[in-house]
Amino acid sequence: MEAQGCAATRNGLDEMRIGFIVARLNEEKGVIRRLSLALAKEMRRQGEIVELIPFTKTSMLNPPLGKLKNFDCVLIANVGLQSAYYSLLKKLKFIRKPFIAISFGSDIREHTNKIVNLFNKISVSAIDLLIVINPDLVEIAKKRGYSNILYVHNWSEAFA
Amino acid sequence: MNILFLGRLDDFKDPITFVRAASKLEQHKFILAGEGPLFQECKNEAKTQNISFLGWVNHSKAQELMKEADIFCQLSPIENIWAASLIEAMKNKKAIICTDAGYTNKYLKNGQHVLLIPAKSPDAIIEAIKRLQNSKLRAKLGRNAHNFIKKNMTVQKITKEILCAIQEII
Repeated sequence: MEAQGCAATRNGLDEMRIGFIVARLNEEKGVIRRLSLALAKEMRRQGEIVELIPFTKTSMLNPPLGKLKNFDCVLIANVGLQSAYYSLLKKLKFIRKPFIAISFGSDIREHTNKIVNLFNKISVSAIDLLIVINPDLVEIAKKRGYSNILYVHNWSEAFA
Repeated sequence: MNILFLGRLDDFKDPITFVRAASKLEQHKFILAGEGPLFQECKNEAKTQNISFLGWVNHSKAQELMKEADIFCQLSPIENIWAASLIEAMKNKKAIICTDAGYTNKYLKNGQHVLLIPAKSPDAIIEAIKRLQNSKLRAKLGRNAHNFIKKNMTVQKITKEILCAIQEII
């Protein structure tokens, strides 16, 4: 999938409202959290409305379904429990928004891990676009059944 | 020289080869920062005093280590593209020793951006470190790697790509 073509036409469009689901938002460890925060910050800087939605045990018991109705799409950091959980809600038609997930590597690469396989199996049909940040993940994602895959470079230069 | 390994201590990143190289090159200081299932094995493998095991470090400490390092090692036998620590090393203009694994040589050219070496070879690391005693070579690699990031991998450019792709599906 090529996304560069529309880059020049983004200016002047209405802003998108993006609900960005991120697990472990309060933990210092973890590159995924830092990459997610950097992406959200830059998306806002480019004019979009981005709200971070923490994925926690509490949010699992009481998912923010009302809030999600206000967004144009749901962006999920990592194909993990968070993506499987929200994918189930989408399959049950509690959420009707497009889903975009970002894979950071081990969440789809580790094919012998039963939990990883299960999360992917649940998520694959709910995810409308899978963004991967390692080129080898394109083939791996295809093998897992994802059809709409975008490879982009890792943006961790943002915090270097 | 200060030689840095920063990342998860697991088979994917292969810290063991780094430790084995350190044991054969006592005149340089090796720093291993990170945690993971191979932490104890790395410690057991160390035969000399010139290697420090820092465990997990927070990001500001990682940045400090990166700034102090002369050489950064990225040693995955599977894939290096795009490890966050590799990108940070490139942005910090570090001379990088990198295994030729996966898509690495598609993006990073040997002698231009990094020194590419075969995976799982302590001797290849040692050889590369000897080459990098040349400060002009270190500066050249660091400069080219930094320029690669500036040209291709800014958060502004990548975010724009992501937003365009999202726009197409909503």
